[in-house]
Amino acid sequence: MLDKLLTLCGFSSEEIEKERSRVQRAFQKINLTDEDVARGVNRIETYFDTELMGIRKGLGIYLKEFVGLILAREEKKKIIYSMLPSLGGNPAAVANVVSKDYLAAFPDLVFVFTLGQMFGKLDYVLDAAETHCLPAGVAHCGSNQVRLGRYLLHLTPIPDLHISWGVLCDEAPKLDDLLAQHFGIPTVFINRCQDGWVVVDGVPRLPERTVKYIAIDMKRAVDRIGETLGTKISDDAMRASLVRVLNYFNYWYEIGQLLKNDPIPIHQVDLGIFHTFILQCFQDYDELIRAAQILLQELRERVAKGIGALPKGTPRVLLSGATSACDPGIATLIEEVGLGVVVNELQIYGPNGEAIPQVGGIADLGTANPYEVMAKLFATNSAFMDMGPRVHVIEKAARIWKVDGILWWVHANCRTYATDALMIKDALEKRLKIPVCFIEGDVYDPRIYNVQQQRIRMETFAEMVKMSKMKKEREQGKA
Amino acid sequence: MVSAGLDLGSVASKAVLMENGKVIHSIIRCTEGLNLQRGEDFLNHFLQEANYDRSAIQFIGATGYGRISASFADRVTSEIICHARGVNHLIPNARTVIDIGGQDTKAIKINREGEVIKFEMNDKCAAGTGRFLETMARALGIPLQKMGDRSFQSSHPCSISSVCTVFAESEIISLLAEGNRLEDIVAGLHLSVAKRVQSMVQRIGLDQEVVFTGGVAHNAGVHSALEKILAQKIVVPDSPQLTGALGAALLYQD
Repeated sequence: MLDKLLTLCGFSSEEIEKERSRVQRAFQKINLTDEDVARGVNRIETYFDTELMGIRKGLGIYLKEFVGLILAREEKKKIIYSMLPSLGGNPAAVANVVSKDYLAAFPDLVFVFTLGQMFGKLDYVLDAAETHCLPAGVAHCGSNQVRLGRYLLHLTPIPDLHISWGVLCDEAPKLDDLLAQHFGIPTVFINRCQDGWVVVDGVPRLPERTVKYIAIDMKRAVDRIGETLGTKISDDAMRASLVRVLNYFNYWYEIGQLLKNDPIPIHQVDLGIFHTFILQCFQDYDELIRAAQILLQELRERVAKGIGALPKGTPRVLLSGATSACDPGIATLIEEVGLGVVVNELQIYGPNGEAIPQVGGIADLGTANPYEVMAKLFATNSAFMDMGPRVHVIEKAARIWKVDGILWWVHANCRTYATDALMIKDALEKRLKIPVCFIEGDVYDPRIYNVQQQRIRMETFAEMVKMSKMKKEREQGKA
Repeated sequence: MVSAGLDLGSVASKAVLMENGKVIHSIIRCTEGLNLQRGEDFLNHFLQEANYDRSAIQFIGATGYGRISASFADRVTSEIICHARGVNHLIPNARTVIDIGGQDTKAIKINREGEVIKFEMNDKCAAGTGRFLETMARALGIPLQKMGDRSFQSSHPCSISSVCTVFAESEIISLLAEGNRLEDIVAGLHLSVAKRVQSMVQRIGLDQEVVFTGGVAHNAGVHSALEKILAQKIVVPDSPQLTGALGAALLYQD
């Protein structure tokens, strides 16, 4: 069964022979049993489109990160962890460029994808965190619960350094402070300048001060990474790390553009894997690029042949939030009720609302300040923006992608995202005159937010979208 | 045209049979057991009672939490859609629907075609639902059906501050122990339900006419509390529990 799992994760037969014992070692270390592996096989076959080799490779990348994390100390790596957000490339990823003896990772999301989405076995990690100090019913982010649970259950080694961000999250740095004291984890905090985007004469503008502030703080964190690793991290190394990210962005952008076609060539749950890759570190970026190339080619072939993952004419929606990190049943439910996601907010950047062609094709950053490039990229994503500019940019994206509705999925346990969610919904409804559905959720926690609970809202929203679309087409004389 | 509509709720199962747009038979029964056979069994029981042959039915629509057991239906959809259609059929001027069922509460804004424009629902918490009132009736030792009448005898409704059914139960026991009149407590509970609905209605925007459906609509005390809190006349159709099933039966029109 393990071989079947690895095959579904895009491992070649040679790779299976080479990696099998290492994977087994990792699984044994965290008590992933044969039953869990069998469940993993079943869940992959149920939720993911394994006809696409690109998707298999994507799953494999997450699995390899998972194994690497668990065995890092045993394999004598120096370990740097980071967490959300890293929308412009994760500064910790530079460690992976400097040396293969270092491991930089974003473990929480890796665990959400593997232990959660793949194996359906994340509940006990969340339970452990709740028993300790992040109880249920008190709006604690699933991502933060995973982080605490990982340490409590000794699923991953204590790192040599943890990079914490207070940029989008108020709870995470507080938790990281507690983890630092409780587990002795050396931690450095990256801060945010609260001056976000503003809309001036109808055009969103990002204050230069904001970019510089974040850039300076990222540099401070990276200098600390260097101290931890016993090496100086040069701007060139940082640029090399960022170029890897930007090269991936190019492919991710091209993949995203294919969703402008009808029929939609890929399921949202599959695309979600590649969406969250922009948040990660990854030891082997070449493998990531290869996976993206394969997927892009496969999807281009589908589009050329008119093959869709969903029927032609499926109503198109914009999806906010990180549903990519949720129970895959939710992304599947969106399609079950007859809707197709064509753009995710992770793809929406200011000021124009489109994905990021402005950084596409960059293979050489010259002597650009890599921290400012990263900070600007990060701060340009819609999810970073405050309400006014965010609505402005989402509206643009909705028109560019010609969506029939918006599924405003909100991380309800996140004060940053939950505070203005209803106001954003109302604003988008008013501006776009299309149905906008507000759905609450959390980062992978099916104990609290599950598919059956969401079904009635999604079904109703789907009917509303279909009606709205039909009426518009009638008015435009297409019916 | 003969159509049947099923609303397979968590507390009650409802069905209507329609002939050329008129209801010729209906049924409301307590839901017994949640299994995949439930829908079929209920339909057969209903048709037997109505003395109607299944082969004569041209369309079957189904809704409710138990709709997964109605795979035989020609169309299955959410109860929000069905309540909207059902209310529109009964009261064409209706523009706001408040549905309080056994385990959730919904506020639905509809247009003149009975299409849903906006909706809000409380489906995470029992407070403000039929379940809440059942629990409180049990705690107070009075029949659920008598709550409405008892509340009209109140002179000073108690303020119930808890937002949770479990905590509210503790709270009313304390209120009883402090010597508060049962009628005042019941009136306070009804106001508490109405306030929870108020915030949902405010979210979708209230347009006349406002219609109240669901099993809790039989409770005149809640009806009165809603009218007071929303400062609106609120219409309760003759069979407020059947609007979902009615809407399901009308789905053939799509």
